[in-house]
Amino acid sequence: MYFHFQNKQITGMLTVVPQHRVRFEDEIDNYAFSRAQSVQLQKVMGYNERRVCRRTDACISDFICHGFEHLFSEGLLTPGEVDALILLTNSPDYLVPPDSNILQGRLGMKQDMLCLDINQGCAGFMVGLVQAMQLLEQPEIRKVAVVTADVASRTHSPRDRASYPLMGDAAAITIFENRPSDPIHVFMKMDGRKALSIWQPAGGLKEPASEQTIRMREETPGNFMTRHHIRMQGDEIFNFMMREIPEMFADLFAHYGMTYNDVEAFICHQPNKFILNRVAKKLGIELEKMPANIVETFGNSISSSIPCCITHNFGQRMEKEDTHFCLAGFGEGLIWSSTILRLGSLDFCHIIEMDI
Amino acid sequence: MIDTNQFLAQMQEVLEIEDRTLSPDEKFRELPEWSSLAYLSTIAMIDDEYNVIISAADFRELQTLGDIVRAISERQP
Repeated sequence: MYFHFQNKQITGMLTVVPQHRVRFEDEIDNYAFSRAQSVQLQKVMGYNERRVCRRTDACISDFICHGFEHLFSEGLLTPGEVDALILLTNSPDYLVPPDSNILQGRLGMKQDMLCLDINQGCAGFMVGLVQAMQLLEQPEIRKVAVVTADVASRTHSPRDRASYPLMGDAAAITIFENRPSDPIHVFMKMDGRKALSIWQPAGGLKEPASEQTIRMREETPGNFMTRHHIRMQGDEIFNFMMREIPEMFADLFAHYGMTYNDVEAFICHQPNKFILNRVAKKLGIELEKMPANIVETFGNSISSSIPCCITHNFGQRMEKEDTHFCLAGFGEGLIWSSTILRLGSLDFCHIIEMDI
Repeated sequence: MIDTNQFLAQMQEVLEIEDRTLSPDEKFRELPEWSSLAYLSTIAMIDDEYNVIISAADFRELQTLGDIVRAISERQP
């Protein structure tokens, strides 16, 4: 299905990453695979350096508060301006109450606002974008903060080679406002029959924490995790992306009456270099047109991967110029979603580091 | 039906096997060269060369290289 919007714009984007850097080579012996095998996988997937928390008690609220306080102290945003705070995460501080309400209180935001937690991962940014644009139809909502945040280094097992070496920690704050724009169309599809392809079995009421759920077990050959760790069915997800993503782009561009040349770049969720390069090849576009360098620089930060990719690769250029981007999120759910919009003249567009 | 010999040659390339020839009866999961990465490369090669994507569930049922040849042939447009 398509969502349609008019006169909506992204007006600011900030990514927060940990200072602490980890290299794949340093962790290679945690995995129950031969070194040669792991090195080959590293080359193809684009494993290199990642940003992860050093603190074992790091929470998304730490990242988010750091990001907002930076914006407040730099005069780029005031607490009273935020009319809605939408949080998209897989790793909330608490199940009750919503983290967004706690953040509102901690950050001194006003009472006349909407706080909303949404349980979303890889496609979180796209779901947040749709929510933000819908809320902006309300006359009293002028500024929406879409907050994406995940501490993936705590939700994935350090002994799961299929996911851990890909993951990085990050949060991002993206501001949406009503501003003159071309019509925006958002492609959105979901397939809940494959919902458990990316899954954290324990921790909810279906499988509450017990001695059984916290035991490390070999879930797939060579990969150890507890029932509280997120596991990915790699083959299923890979096939899903190969099948659906190129088709989605064809549909979206036909819908806009545009060609792949009409956009400056495809800013996708960053699962790994292998998948993104394959999608680019399938579309017949230059590999550079679909940046795939986030896994090797920061790690896949789940819901923040799209803002991370924009702030890293385009950064402050976006404060002066503007250009057409295709944005796409896909994964957990399973969900695949994309849009084309003009991005630029942003109030801010950068990355800050945090000692955490 | 796709050309079996051609497919076997493509698989040798994917798996980087140079010192011996693969046969259709080969149980590919038992090959020392088989890995999760080999799986991705195989699926990608089949998509490139034959324009076919075999679902993960279907692929799990396949045992020999000959099984893959049949699976591709059944799905070709």
